[in-house]
Amino acid sequence: MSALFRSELLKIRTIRTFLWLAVANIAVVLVTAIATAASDDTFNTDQNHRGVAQIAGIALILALISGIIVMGGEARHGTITQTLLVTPLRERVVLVKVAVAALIGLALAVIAEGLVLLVTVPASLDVHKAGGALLGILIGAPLAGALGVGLGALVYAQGAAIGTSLAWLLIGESLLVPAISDSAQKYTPGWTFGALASGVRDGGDQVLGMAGGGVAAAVWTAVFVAAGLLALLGRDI
Amino acid sequence: MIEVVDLRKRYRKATAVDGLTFKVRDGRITGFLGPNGAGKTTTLRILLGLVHPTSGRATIDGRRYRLLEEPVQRVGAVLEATNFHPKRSGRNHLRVLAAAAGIPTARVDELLELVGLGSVARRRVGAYSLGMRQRLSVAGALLGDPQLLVLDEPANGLDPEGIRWLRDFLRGFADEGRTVFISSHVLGEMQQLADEVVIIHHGRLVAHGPVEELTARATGGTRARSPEAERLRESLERQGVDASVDGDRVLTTAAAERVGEIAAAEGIVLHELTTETASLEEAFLELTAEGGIE
Repeated sequence: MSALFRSELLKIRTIRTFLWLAVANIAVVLVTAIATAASDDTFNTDQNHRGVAQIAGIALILALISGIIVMGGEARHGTITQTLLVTPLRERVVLVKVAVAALIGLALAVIAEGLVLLVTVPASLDVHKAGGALLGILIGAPLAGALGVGLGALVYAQGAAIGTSLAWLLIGESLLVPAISDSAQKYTPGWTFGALASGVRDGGDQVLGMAGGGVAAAVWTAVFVAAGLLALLGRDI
Repeated sequence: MIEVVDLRKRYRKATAVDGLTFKVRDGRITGFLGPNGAGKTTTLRILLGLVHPTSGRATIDGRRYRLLEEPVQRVGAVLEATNFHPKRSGRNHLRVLAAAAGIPTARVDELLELVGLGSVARRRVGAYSLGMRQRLSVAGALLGDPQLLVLDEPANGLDPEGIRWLRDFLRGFADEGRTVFISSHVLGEMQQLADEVVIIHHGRLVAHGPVEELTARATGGTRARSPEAERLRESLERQGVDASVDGDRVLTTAAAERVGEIAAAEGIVLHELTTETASLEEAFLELTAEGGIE
């Protein structure tokens, strides 16, 4: 397992895709954090402090995309064939990719939060008030990366998986789900990860609390990883 | 030893492999031949655990590929030359595979030199020619110094020099007592390279045996050269032997002995009497056209 893990990390290091994702992570966080810190009414309420911390939430989206690329990139370039020739036990391949994607997600979250703190603490961010959101993002980003691997294995096409997931988050959860059921929206993947990263302990009718969101996000992650694994086990390569 | 037993693979609308059974013996080069769509690639991919069979089994040393311990050390495989990340260098591609198999990087550099890619090892694979990618595939297959090589159309994209290199390499590999199972469309190349061949058509076995045996079983012919070619043709046809004339040459499917006896009996001078054996290509075309002989 450790050899396969090293191999997967080497895959990440030997192409620039993940470097660009890290650069995007840094750029978005820096620009947003600097603009926020420069605003006069940024730190008036507890909610505002949490909102500033949630700038680092971009790491959740980038972690999801990273996870999709970790798995879907292999399908896109056909390198999955070589991977499975060296490690024919597909379940092992998926589990190691889940671990690698989780690690990437964690790294993205740590970088994003580090930058947010670096820019906004001198401008009066209260870390205690923002702590819940920061913790939620640190937990959520690895889960998002792992979920991305499952989605990549399930859809088995990198571009389609990224496009579908973004369309779902932007349109599906915001428009389609509420049209069917208002109460269902808070259980959708995007909203559960949002709840986890919210830093709000207690939920309500429209949104889960942080703990509930964390559990639901973990369940969604497990469901997607299991579905992706089953799809890959049955797939002809 | 590779063993394929009653192997079947059905897709929604087509049957790719239909009750295929054969064995590939160790220490030999076995060619795997068949027209496009015959089921060769599907069979190889089932053997390598990439495609699930509908029924039957394909095993290496009695085990399915996914159950082999250290598969890279037992089997090297060359499949499509397109299975690379175009932005990754050739050396890094091999390093990734080597890391997963627990093979040191020194082996990577050694193989890059062996396949003639040492000078371009750090160049991105996207900039490689098809021939260079094939060589990289071969290097990848050799990482674990395996006892068995499985190759699917490895000559695709190789220039004549590359094909010669591959032939010499595979021959040397087999001379060390190792096994090569290779599918190819280049029948002339296979005739020179393979000890025996497995020929399939429509997913079914049509022939399996040594190359010499298959070419001998296929229709050959006799060529005679005579200053009385037309008279020889008439004499042959009077004896019920079909023949045709091309200048001073007479071509017939009868054995040389029979042609010689008829010519002697008629007092016809012969300048040449040659038995023409069929090439592997002719044998292949005959076998796949007929639906095969067991």
